[in-house]
Amino acid sequence: MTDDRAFLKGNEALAYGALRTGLNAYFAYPITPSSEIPETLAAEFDRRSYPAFRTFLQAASELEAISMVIGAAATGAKAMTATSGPGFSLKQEGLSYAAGMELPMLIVDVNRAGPGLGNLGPEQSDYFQATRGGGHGGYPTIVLAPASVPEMAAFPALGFDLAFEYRTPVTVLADAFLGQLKEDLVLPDVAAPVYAPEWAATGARGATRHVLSSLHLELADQSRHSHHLREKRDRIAAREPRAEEFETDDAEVVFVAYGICARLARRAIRLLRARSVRAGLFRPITLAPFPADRLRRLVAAGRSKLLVVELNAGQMVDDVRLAAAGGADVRSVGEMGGLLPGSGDLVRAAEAMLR
Amino acid sequence: MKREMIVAGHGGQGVLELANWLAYFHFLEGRHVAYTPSYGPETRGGKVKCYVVASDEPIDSPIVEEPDLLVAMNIPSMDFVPLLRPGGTLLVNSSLVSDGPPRTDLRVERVPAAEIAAGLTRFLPEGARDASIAANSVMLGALFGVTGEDPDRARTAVDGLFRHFLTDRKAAYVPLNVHAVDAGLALLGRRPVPA
Repeated sequence: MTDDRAFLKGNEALAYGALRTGLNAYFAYPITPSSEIPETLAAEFDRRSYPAFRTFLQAASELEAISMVIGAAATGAKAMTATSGPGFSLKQEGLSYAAGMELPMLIVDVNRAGPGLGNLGPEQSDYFQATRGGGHGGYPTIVLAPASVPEMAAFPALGFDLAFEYRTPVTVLADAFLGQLKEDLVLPDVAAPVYAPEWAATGARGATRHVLSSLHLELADQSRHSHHLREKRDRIAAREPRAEEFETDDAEVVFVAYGICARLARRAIRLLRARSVRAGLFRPITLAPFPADRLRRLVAAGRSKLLVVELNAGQMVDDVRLAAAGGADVRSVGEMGGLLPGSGDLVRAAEAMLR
Repeated sequence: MKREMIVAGHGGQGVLELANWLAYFHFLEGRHVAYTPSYGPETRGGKVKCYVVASDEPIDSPIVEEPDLLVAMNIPSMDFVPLLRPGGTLLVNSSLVSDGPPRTDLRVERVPAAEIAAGLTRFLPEGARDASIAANSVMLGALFGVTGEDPDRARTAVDGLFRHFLTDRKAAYVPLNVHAVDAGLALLGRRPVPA
């Protein structure tokens, strides 16, 4: 047992994970069920316990908050914001600008239920918006999907690493369940401080001038830039997919699930195996880039029945079908509106695939 | 060891706190814990249901579908009785729930939590009047009793636990809550009521 062992909500753990990876600036526009992220950061900002954390600012709107993140990111700072539901839609414009300007930043979406205002329960219905990029224009997306409170704490470090390596926004796509769930965890180590990268607009006297802009009025300039972003997307797709497998070696049916649904699937797998049904789990950790090659290899190795579990009407199932390329029977099961599927629902759906 | 529990009641009874303290107790014992608060618009009288899973092994799903133990703080909480595993334990707040459960395969313990807590007025901070607010702590003690926690260990943990959670102006309520846990333990545990 270490001093860093803690018992925290997912949202609180994410805030501490961000602080421990050297967060410099947070721009808040709180919205349930993600509000514990700014609450925790505001309290720690007051305590001055993390010297790198220099700015906490409550904006007047979501658009203002994401625009402030753009400004801070342009100086090379580790800057982030978090939101839920309608707030994620409002921040898409800023994400598009940031991707066009090639700025690293972290945005957290604690997915709540329904289009419009919906409710405060968990859903995974922002999958398309996050993975495809809900802003205008075409740009690369990196989307990380934690499935536990320890991962909520660990993914800000991974997210900022990827954001700075590829100079693009990274989204942590959680859900209301993971945001509110409290679990034991060991907090990640405090990262060593880093200095502004060479492309940053630091305003230093006598330094090289850096122009960070998403405006390319000459068609050839925009074309060159768009091809560059496409090349970046392909590089990310080749190098960064992450997934976890559980009991897939002998599985006759494989759940494909991320986030809280992966946890539900693990229980269903235990129940199914107790009934002599060989079930397994394929869990995408990066939703973008989707771990398509790895899933394709699994299908090629004979795992030809895939059961996708999602808290939406079926979104990731499209990516699973694309990856399986007709080589597997792919079906979908899930819940919406803030409810979760029960183990019985998953067990029955898996058994139905084997009949 | 793996224990799956549901704590249910209504807003204002301290159900979220009770479940949080219970989870934190197991955390202090070095176990893996998962605590799922029910949340939403916070209203006095609204339905509250929490899941607490404590286990020596990593926890797969934090959702409790077949609890080993149900703490029913009010009548609507009895709706969860059918979920209890055969042989499971039902801890009823008999201050509000008079009927017995329609099952015979359970261990049922009835705890007049509000009345017991109301008897602890002498531990209230100055100016405060209603000790029955510590009914949730009485239930926590009773719960330690039925799950066979070592009373001394539980008492030490509870002391640290309340000092962790009851801070600032709530700190004055630590003695009341510690004695409320003691009273619950005394009712269902092995230890006599302290003098």
